[in-house]
Amino acid sequence: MEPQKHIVTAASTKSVEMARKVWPFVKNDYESGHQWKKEGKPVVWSCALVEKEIYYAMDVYPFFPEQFAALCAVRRRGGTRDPNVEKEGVRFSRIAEANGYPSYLCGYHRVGVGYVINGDLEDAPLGGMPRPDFMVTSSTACDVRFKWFEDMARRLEVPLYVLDRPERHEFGFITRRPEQRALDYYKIQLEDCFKFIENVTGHSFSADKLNEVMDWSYRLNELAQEILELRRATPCPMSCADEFTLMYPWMYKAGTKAAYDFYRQLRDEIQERVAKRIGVVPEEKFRLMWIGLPNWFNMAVMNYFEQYGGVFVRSPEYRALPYPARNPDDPVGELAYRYLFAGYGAYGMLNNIEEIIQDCRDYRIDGAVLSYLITCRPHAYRQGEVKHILEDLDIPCVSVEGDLVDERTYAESQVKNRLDGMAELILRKKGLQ
Amino acid sequence: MFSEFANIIEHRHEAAKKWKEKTGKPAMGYLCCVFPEEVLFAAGVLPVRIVGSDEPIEKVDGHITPYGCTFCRKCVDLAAQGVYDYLDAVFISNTCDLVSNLDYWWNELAPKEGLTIADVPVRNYVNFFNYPQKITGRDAVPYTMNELRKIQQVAERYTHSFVSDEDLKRSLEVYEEHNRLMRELHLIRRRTPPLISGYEAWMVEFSSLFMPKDEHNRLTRNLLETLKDRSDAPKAGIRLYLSASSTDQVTAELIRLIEDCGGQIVSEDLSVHSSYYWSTYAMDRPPLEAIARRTLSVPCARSAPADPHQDMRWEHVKKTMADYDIEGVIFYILLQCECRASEYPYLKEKIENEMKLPVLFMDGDYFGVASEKNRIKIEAFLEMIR
Repeated sequence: MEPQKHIVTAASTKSVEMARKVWPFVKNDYESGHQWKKEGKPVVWSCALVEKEIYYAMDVYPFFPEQFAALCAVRRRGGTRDPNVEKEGVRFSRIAEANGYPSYLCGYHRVGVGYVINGDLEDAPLGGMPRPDFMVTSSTACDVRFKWFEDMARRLEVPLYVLDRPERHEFGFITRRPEQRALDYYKIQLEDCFKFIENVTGHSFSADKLNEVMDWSYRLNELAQEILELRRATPCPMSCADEFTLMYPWMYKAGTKAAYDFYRQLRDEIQERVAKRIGVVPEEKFRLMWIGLPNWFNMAVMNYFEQYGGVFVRSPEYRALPYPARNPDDPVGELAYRYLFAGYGAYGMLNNIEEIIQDCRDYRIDGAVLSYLITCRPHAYRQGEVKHILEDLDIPCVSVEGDLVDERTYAESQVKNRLDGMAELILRKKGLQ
Repeated sequence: MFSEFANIIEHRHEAAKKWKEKTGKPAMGYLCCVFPEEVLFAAGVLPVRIVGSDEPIEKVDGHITPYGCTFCRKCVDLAAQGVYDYLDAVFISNTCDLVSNLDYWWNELAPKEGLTIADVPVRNYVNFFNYPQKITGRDAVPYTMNELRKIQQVAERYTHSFVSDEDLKRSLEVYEEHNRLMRELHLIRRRTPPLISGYEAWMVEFSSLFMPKDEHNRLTRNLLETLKDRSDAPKAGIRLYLSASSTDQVTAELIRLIEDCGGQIVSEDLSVHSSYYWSTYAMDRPPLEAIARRTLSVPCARSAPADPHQDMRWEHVKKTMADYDIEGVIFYILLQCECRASEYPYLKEKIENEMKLPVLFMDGDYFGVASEKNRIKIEAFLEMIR
């Protein structure tokens, strides 16, 4: 038999109208960023877990290599849909690997550094990311965020600022309140970040501007929480297929009016769907959780259970945790509190698992798919433990192995077999088969 | 000449248990060379470096993913088997993605009762050391001092005593001597041929992680005296620099293999110990600050200074290669050791372009480093240099 030449993957099908507006939003964002750069204004490359408010308050246009890597996971060179042309994520990964980066390194990392080594930053989807004037990264969540940005900053010869965010706020036990000393430390990290940007760009920090931006992100976050609450409804009005697409304005444009407007329309749409009992499938038979980041190159898997009446109603990865009340007298302190409280990994693995258990109760989860990202260590580490615990709670789990953006390690038929088995198990358990 | 050091390494658990029996004081385990063991020593505690062993993994499969570093997995596996039961407390640092989660598994697989009052923890068995990723900058030292005070509190609560500045100063003096002796030992390897092999030097350094430093200082002083008249010094070999992930007694077999093939490790950049003793203590500062500054000076692959154009790791490699007449460089990176794997292409480029030296890259598992496959690679590399 002739070996398979390419991997069959596809985009997800959206059920929410606003989800279809994300792609134009993303394209417009990239175009605006390129225009911004052409006008000689500063561009930063940063990571998803850095406070976006910093950039919008300082009039800097941010681009995010993680998001860009996800874009490369679905786009082929020149925008073709010809499956014989490999995806850009694979092409850039190969460039990185040819330059000594092992294939077990994070997919985002390999794509990002391969893209930089490639040299022509415009030779990429949507014209690539404009050349940065500086970079800002965070110590949160994984080591790669620092090592990868350090490497790219060196190669592009631009300055790098590392926001060091303490990951545990209490000593030896878990609490929901950031420790004051950690808050003080992190506030200084933010103050120094503003100074760094002032030095690099010549733009001045303004507390008024930061307050204005933080108002927008505060409101956006309130809307995101409201949507999370609405999604507890049966039938579920919005699935993870929509959620992972709709995260773009919330994740990358927090602090802008555009993101707030987008989410207000989204909230209204979800409200209406709940009121009219419009679900993702005609008859919702079981509810699922997707745990871990997705394989961005094959989002169609998010719709896979719909043929059985199953819907992914929740993923705990992007959670809009509540922000403290606004404190315009100390916006930098408030920003520190927000992200220490809501930051990923802030409370250790035990707390992270407890949140997942609570989400399973709140969203009445019947089964979970664990995204076993073999090159994303912080996500892969906890999955075995989550599986034990959920199965003890009589919630069946199945693992899907793969990379974030590099589809070469993805085994589609094996994944489908596992998901079929899982669907049958849940239906039998619920007496529906 | 080295049998005492080898004995300590081989019988490290028994030695620590005996020490506890003899002194009636606690022993506490830690991971990573950034950990400020000086604070524990000041409290009369025996700091014990947690390392793995060459027996197969028994307990952690199904808990810690096989895609995690096997060195870390083996450390917890030994804890789950009860090997580290003699430790009164354990400190986990946030020094890499896997290590920073080990507190969870240690509690799950090797739990021990701490003390709580009204459900508030007083003494925890597993403790977390929040080490900054950015090791310089405006608040790095005061923030770290605050973390050190927490470690001091743990030590005080286990020893039922208070640690004074005088205790800390005495500890610093012992550690300062230790670091000086380690540097001295390192510098004699600049000679051609060196008076001591790479494996012997590693044994001396590594053994210090399992015994009181003052006792180790005594042994090292004697060794340095004896070395002056050494008649059985190792034969000259190809002078090599080794940069490697966690190097304990299992992975150190690689050093033995390299030297067996005709190479000679004359300097190194090894996780576990050798990045530890290059800086001196700021003895004119309050002792806790001096310790904070020392721990923040470790050029660990996961750390960053505040300088926006920093090049800390290359500077460290360059510094530890200078004046050793290095003829080649070997990298051994444990699979899944992401920080070292990420920086390898850059360091390789620098070594090849600026130092005009050949580089051999090897990555592999924690077990079986002295494999035939690795022997062939090393022999071919040495042949190329010859």
